[in-house]
Amino acid sequence: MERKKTTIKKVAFLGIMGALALSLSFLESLIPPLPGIPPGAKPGLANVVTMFLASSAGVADAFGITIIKAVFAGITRGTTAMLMSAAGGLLSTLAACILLRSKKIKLGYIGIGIICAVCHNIGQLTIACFLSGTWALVTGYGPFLMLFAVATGFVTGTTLKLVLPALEKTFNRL
Amino acid sequence: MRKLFRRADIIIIIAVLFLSFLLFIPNLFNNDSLVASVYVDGEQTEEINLDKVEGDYAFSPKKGTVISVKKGAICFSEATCRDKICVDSGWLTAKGQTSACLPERVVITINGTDKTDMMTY
Amino acid sequence: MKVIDKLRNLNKRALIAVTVCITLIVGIVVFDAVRKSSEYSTTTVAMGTVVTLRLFGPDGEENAQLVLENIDETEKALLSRNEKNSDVDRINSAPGTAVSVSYETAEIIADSLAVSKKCEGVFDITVGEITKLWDFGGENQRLPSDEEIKERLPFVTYSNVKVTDTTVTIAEGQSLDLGAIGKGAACDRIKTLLSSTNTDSAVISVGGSLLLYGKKDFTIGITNPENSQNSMGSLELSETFVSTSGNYEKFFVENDKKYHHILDATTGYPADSRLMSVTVVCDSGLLSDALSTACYIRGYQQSLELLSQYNAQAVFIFKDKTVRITDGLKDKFTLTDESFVVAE
Repeated sequence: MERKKTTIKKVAFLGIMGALALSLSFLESLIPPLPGIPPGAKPGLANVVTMFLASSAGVADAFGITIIKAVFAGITRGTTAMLMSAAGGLLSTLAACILLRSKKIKLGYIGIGIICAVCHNIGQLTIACFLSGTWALVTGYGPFLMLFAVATGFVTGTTLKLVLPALEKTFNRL
Repeated sequence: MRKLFRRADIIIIIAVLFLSFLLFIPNLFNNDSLVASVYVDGEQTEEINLDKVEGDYAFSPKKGTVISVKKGAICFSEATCRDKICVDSGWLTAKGQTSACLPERVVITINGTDKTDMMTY
Repeated sequence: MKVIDKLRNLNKRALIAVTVCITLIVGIVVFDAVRKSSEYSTTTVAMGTVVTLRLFGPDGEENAQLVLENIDETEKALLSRNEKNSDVDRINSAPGTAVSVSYETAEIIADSLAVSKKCEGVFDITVGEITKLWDFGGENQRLPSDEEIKERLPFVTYSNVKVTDTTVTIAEGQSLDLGAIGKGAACDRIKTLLSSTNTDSAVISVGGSLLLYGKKDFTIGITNPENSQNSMGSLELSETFVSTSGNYEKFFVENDKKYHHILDATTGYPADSRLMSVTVVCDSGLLSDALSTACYIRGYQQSLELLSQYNAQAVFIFKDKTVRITDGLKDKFTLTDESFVVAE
């Protein structure tokens, strides 16, 4: 297969994708807490990167970048952030891999974006409950996170649709 | 290439909104019950769910002190000590409130804190 | 082809190795997080006041027991003037002679005298004979006569106490009362104790004087002086000591006048202050206790200099319900009771 001989270029490309994911999540961390939005909830633009990798590159690549993102969060923001990032990221990447790679599932990018966002939030909420030792967060925080996931899924899904042709073109030339 | 939006996406959105609503339902019914703990000599001896108290009653956790309980509130009603600070502090009705009879080493505290970890006084 | 095949095999092995490593790291991190999140809390009466412990980390119950024993030791062996053969009791019962005490007691007394010097004696641990007259919260609580106070006031002189590394000498007629700093000093000792245990973090209240231990942010409620079961605001703090002096803690009313327990050591009477309470945050329990008392007596303007000398921060609550906060705490304070007004 052609994949074999393009390893180096692919590695470089993945490096750029990783950097993109990291800088996007860093940019999002700069957004100040806004009234009406649950604290800590972010648009999740870095998810666009993992969703692209899941759909066009490979399952392993998508998970690899997700793990790097979590480790980066751990280094810059501590173990709690790392756990949250890992749980949310892995779950949403799993969803992205299944949904985007399956030919049978007839969902648009927005629908997939929403499901990924929901999975991301479920992962984070689970860890948050685990760490704080109270499941009250599920009902206290969950409803707002779910609503927010619809909005962020809209954003990430649309973004993915817009950037996918360009990214795919680049990727296929490698 | 996949479409941006398909009819099935509407189902997903509705499903998520419904999930959000389902998770919200418990909030409508549950006002976080008030649970009071009574400590005697550093050992917890009673745990009372103040929301489920039916009818007023009083008990003596230790000789020299009497604690009164009614729905949503608890207090020291009698103490043999001189200053009666514990009796004077009145009914405890909110999370994090504490009343103590120092001479008898009896403490009542309402469990949980309203977002504060500790009070300074 | 062969090279590529080898590379692919290597790749697979590397992938497995990396996966195993990551699983291990995540496992350790999760274990660590769970360990840190376990909390043990208890409330009891010690040192004549309510003690509340919240310990985070393993072995909470055992460590809590150690803390309570430590508090008892602070009271019974070191600082209580009512416990026979405590260091302070032995000092008080032998005025004029150098009494050998533990280095901890000597250090606590030396630190207290240093604060007295800096605040011109409004806070003074030699106020013992006068606090005995008032006996706030005790069996013989009463309003003493002017003569009684005048008679004892000359002996309230911190500069007459001599301290060496292991001995303390008070003058004839003097007696020490470490009530104003005892709880804070207990917090200092607890901090030393906790650092020798496997406790990750803790928040401990010894009668309202707080120790915040370990790298964890705690939300501390400041008592509403007009309704002491509720808070009027909160502070977001970590790894520090907090202490409050307020006119609502111990007091009695006689002839329509309220007499509270914070005595101005230069007059022998409750401090006539425009404040209801002062909360001091600083990196020593003893200092936070001593400074909150001194600041309450001296008032806002006179306290700023004193606070900055000790690198301490404070929240002042005035009787007209205005609140003044020193710069270092402004962004950590949240007002929760809107009937108070934060002054700029």
